[in-house]
Amino acid sequence: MAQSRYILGISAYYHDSAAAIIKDSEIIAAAQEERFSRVKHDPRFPVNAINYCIEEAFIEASDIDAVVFYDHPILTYDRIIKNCATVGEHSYDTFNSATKSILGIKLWVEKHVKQTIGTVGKLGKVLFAGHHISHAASSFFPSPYNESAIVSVDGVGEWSTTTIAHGIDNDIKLLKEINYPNSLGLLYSAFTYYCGFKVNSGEYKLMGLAPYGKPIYVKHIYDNLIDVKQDGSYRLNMEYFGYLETNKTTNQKFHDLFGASPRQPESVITRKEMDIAASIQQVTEEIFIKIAQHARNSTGSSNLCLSGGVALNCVANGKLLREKIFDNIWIQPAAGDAGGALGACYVANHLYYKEKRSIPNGKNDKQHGSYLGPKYSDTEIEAFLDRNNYVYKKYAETDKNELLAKEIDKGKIVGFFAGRMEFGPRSLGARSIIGDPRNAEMQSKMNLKIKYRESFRPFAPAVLREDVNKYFDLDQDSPYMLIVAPVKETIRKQVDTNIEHNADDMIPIINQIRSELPAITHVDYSARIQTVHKDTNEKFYNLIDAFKQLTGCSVLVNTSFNVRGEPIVCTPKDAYLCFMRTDIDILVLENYILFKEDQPKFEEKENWQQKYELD
Amino acid sequence: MNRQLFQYHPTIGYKFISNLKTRIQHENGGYLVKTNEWGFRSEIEFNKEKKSDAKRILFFGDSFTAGDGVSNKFRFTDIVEQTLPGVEVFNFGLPGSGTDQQFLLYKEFGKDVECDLIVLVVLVENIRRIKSHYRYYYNEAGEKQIYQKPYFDFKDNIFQLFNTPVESQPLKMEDLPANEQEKVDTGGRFVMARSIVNALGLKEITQKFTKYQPVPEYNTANSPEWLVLKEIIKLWSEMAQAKFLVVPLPLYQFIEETSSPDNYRARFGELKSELNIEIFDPLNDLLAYTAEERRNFRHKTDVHPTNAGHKAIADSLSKKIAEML
Amino acid sequence: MNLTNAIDLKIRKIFEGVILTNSHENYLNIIINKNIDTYYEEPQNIQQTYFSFVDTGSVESFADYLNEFWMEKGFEGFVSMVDEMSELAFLLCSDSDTQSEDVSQFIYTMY
Repeated sequence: MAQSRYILGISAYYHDSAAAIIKDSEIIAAAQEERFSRVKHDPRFPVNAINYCIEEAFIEASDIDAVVFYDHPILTYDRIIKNCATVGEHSYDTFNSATKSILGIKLWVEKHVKQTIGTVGKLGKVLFAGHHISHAASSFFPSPYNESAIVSVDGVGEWSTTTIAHGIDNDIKLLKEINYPNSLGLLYSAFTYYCGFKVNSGEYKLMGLAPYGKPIYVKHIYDNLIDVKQDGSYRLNMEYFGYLETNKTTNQKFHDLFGASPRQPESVITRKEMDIAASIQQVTEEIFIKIAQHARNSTGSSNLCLSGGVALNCVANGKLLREKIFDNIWIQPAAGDAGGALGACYVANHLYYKEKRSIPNGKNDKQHGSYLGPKYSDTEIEAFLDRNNYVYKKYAETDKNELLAKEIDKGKIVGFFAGRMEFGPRSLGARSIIGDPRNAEMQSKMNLKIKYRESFRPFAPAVLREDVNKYFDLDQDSPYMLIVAPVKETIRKQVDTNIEHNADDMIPIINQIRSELPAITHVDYSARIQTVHKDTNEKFYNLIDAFKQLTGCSVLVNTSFNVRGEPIVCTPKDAYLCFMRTDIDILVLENYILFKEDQPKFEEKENWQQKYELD
Repeated sequence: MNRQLFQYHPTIGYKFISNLKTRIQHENGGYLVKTNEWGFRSEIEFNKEKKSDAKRILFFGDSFTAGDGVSNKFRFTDIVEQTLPGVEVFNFGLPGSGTDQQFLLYKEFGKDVECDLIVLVVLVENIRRIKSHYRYYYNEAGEKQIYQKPYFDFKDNIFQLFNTPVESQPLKMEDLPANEQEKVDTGGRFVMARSIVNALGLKEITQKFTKYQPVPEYNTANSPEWLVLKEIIKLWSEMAQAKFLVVPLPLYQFIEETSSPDNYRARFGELKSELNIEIFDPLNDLLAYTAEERRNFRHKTDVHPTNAGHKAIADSLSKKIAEML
Repeated sequence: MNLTNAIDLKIRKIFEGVILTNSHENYLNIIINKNIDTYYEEPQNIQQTYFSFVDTGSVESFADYLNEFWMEKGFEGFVSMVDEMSELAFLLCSDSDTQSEDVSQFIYTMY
């Protein structure tokens, strides 16, 4: 019998470092380092994630065939040098720091791999996979398609910022690209910064803010900041951006264009930020759709695979879906840099080793619901609870779900920890906080007392796949919460239009009841949908089903199990800490249920509000 | 470390969590740990009745037997199994345990297991553990915590078990009475001096120059610790349902000849004649390797055996076991 | 001279030898041209864009690697200091055991 081939992929030193491992083309494990280190978006070499991946594969490190790193350090250095040469004398600080970062750290991946696992695998040296080919591979190879157009859009990787590729069988050909400094991702990040959110994490907030505003700056953006061709290709007017010379994305000319300095983080969000958010969101969507159309024309494919950070813009994804340019769209749930670790594995497997691909059936992907992280057995959980004298009761699956359904119906908020942890930024029912979407107070309670985050941010619905069309204008799978679709007209409610159009403060707008599921209905009647499937997450499915049996509603609010600035919980201990630090009422650790009021007095050992810096 | 390895056990203090599959990061790049349903590091499930003609050996010991620092398959117990045809090995090793806890573990899990040979591997340092009533342990978060442990002692001339059932929660040093604070095993002799010497990188040379004796408890036949250890071995050998072999496993100082093994060897020699039990001392076999090879029997900083160290122990032990079977 | 000073001096030297010497040219596509139909480009840097190895076996072999990298792409102007760059990389490597939690400010990503 032929020996299995194991490939370890590593993404590090960018943002959100991660590791992944595949065995004979099958994903065995993938995880972000932040989940273990408890440092949000941890960019460091992912020693813990690597250890976990090898643990899941349960092989000796010396059994790994190849170690692949996502990104080519010298190609990135080439970009830095040319950037600095273009800028001249003023670029010294940039050059100094970048040289230390690339020649001092990124170049020495092999050394870090050896230090971490004692070997670089049977290949004997680390393989460097390109940034965008890795993105493309991360979306095409696990997708259900044997042939597909592939679009990858992010901030920048080496030189590329946008690529169009064509995947057929076990091969990917890059067709077109747009290169640095022209970047749709960096454009969005510039507005993220300008609106007072943190670059690299606040983009999601900007997207959530957009529906509150009117897109009155769209023309302004097109006239001054970006020239877009009919085929979706674009070029930025660098006179308005700061990142060639400094570490700021915008410059004074940009600020002058919008008539003010950037909003201070955590200050009041005004109508202006809402309108700017709406405008850049519309521009992004328009360009994104044009790029997709061009990918369709270039490849002739009716399938599309998406990746890169911009593919996490689920509003744009939803619009793209409704444009019906493609018959089918598959989006890598870890579309950002973490997913590069998985993509790098596939680059090695199919492009370097030329491994054949088993023919997909067009329906089921190979992402395993993105439940690719660690799970904890009942014995491990019980050992943890006993060691700490925490009060719990063990339930049979059915009894547990009946109890939880009743408690959720009463307005209780549940920390739900079940099965393998998710890979990617979204919680999909393995490490989730859940509540009743019919409850009008749920959104503000969850935002302010559980997540400690901005009150405007919407929550996502997790809905049984077979019932999605009862509540939303969507009748397809959306298992990774990457598609936004409208809430059905039939369950919408009228709002006070006076408040809606005239309030400068967001709170009254947020508090309007917009549908029978107010907690998950965004201001524009949209929702970021997760369809829940019995074959990929039976436990979560059964819980929602129990809620449906009790209430007739087959939707639950699903938000990530963390507080603002904290990585999503990984271990039972992380979950317990988050449970005790917030107003979560009930903690579910697999089959064990803990009620807050039963727990021993909680002695906080660390200043977690300081530890988890606001994102 | 994102997983907890051990769970509370009222008699022994703790044991491995059952059915674990984990990987522990280590200076050698990491190693795999798999535990079975009974909660022992093993690739196979244990059962009381023999289901084949294979000769079954039960191994008891501490982290050296359990295999800290190496994957299950590279442990000397597993190599013995691979080396000797028709042999099945049950490894009951428990890291951090003393011979007292291993004896309790035998009574709890091992005494009803059908077998042909019981091997008690006494890392010679274990004598220090049996005098302690508490031990420091590091939890998976790297926090140092004091836990109670069971121990035996002669009280009113009766050999008795104390600290049972074991307290499940960690204790604070300041909450212990002064006389009990002295009974906390801090992990070796001269803790402070040792950390300074280690920090200066002078460990080997200092040990050789000072004729450092890591286990002075063996210096006389009447030391209280030796009397307790001897009594445990005596009771165990009497209770054993099969042939019984005691293997005093040397510390690296003895293997690398920076300390004299004479005293502990003398004690185990006396034991053999006094109790009429089988003792196998692997030190001579280990000393036959070159100095460089012997240095590679332990990790760079972790004193537990490397794959090579386990292999050397297994090669030595296999011969004796083959004889006894 | 301590290691930090030696590193900073080398970086300054490379900056002058490579960046300033070549700064008469624009290497980035930043001209907006309303008269063309597309800004898409054919993929460049094909070898590294898919997958490749980087030779960091020794100061000499890494210098050779850098030399070949830029010569192949037609950027002879960047190869004058590959020896210094390679030496610097090895110096930095010996000084790079600690990791920072900060994201490099030169590396932007979205979301």
